[in-house]
Amino acid sequence: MLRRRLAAGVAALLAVVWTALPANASSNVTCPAGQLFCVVQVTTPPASPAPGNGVSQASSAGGRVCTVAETGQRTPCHVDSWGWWDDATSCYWLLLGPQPPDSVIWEGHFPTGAVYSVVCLPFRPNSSNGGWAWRPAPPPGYGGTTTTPAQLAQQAVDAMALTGPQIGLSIPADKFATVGVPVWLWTVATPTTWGPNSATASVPGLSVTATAHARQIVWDTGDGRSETCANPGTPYYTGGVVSPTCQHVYVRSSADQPHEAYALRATTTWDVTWTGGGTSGSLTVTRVSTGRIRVGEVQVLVTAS
Amino acid sequence: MRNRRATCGAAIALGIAALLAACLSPAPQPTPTVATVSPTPDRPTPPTPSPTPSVDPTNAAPEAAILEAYRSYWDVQVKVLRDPSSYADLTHADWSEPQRFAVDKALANLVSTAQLYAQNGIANVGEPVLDPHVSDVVPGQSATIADCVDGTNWQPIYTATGKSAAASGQAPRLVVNSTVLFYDNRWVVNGSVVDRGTTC
Repeated sequence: MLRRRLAAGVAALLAVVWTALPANASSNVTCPAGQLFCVVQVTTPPASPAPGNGVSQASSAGGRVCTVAETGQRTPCHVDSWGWWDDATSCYWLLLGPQPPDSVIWEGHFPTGAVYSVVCLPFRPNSSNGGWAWRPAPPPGYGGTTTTPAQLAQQAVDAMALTGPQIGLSIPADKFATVGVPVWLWTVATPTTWGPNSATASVPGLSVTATAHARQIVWDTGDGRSETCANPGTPYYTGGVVSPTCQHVYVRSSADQPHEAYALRATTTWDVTWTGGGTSGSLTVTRVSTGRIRVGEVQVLVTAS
Repeated sequence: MRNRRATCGAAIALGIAALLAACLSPAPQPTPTVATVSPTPDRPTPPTPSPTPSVDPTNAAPEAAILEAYRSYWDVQVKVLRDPSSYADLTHADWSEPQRFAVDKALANLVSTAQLYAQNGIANVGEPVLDPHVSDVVPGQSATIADCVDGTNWQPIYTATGKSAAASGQAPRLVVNSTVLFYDNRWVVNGSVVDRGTTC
């Protein structure tokens, strides 16, 4: 009985020791620069935050968000005593005031460019944690900006000059389509009519890249109906009857329509994703093209012999 | 601190007024000056005649000012690493004092060490004993300091347990080579490298 109790006690003790061990089990020795003693690290870097959480907040706000890439932790984009955060280097940059006199720190460029005080996060055991550094121009994000990434994303979308479909029909404009016969619908697929398309907009210190893909074209065929095609359609080829991808079959003549033609209205929906300034987002834009199509009924002439 | 008092004592003994002034109130000047200073034409008041050549106290005894700055740098290191968690959050922590005495890599390394310590629940207890020697002095520009730093009573511990956080088998006394710069009207430490291979 006593032996059993002892065994249980030892087991409990071992359990305590065991639970205390993992911290040390993952430890490693780090020698901080400038410090006499190398120390034994007991923690692992903080895990990345839940994905999407920060991004969604950033997207709704549209402002710049700064993140320590290695840890995923948010950090202020500006701190008075350390300057402005730069994602590319994962460091704060502060213009030195006064600027130091000409020395090796200028890398031979004195007096062009400027010298900054740089402090990097997180701790980097085997590389530079910062220091003075020369730069020909301020790093991205320096000095803050009144333009938000979301605003730049809109500019990038504008720069892509997206359009509606470049409408293609299996019936030439000077001919009549026929009731009951499929009319093929397509757009000439180019970066501006179907994508993919990409553009970057920037202001000093902030750059946003947007990428656009067409999702679908809704063909309002003018006869009270419409066709939705998640593709650019297939250009008509001689001998073709049924479009493999996108078509419309008229059931009535356009004779009673203005100009004896149905008004076509083709709307392309574009999905745009953008990223920059430490944040990202998405938006949807539409572009419209119009046209006309004349539809007639086949007149069958029967002659008696 | 012990060495500075000794130096000041020597200065008093020798009666070198300029050196004494440097010990008591280091009033650094932005530019190096030559031994004889002539008044600039646009200065409204004429300089007070002096029996001896007028000398910038910082440059007359730069070693004293340099050592003062160097010891202040160590004092502030002791302060930061005694309570690293108070300094780890760069947004809210007050780094103005360390920034007065450390620049460039010396500052960046102290910042990152505070981060490392805070993340690992480490703090330094006690104080180091210094034995700095200044050399390569270029008045108003730069100097180097060779030191034998004794960390026997300045050790990293885990604050939760009080146990040593130092990796085993390390010598407590090591040569530390530092550089100081005359920047923004004062001497500052810009780099400090521990020579882990050289005990002293």
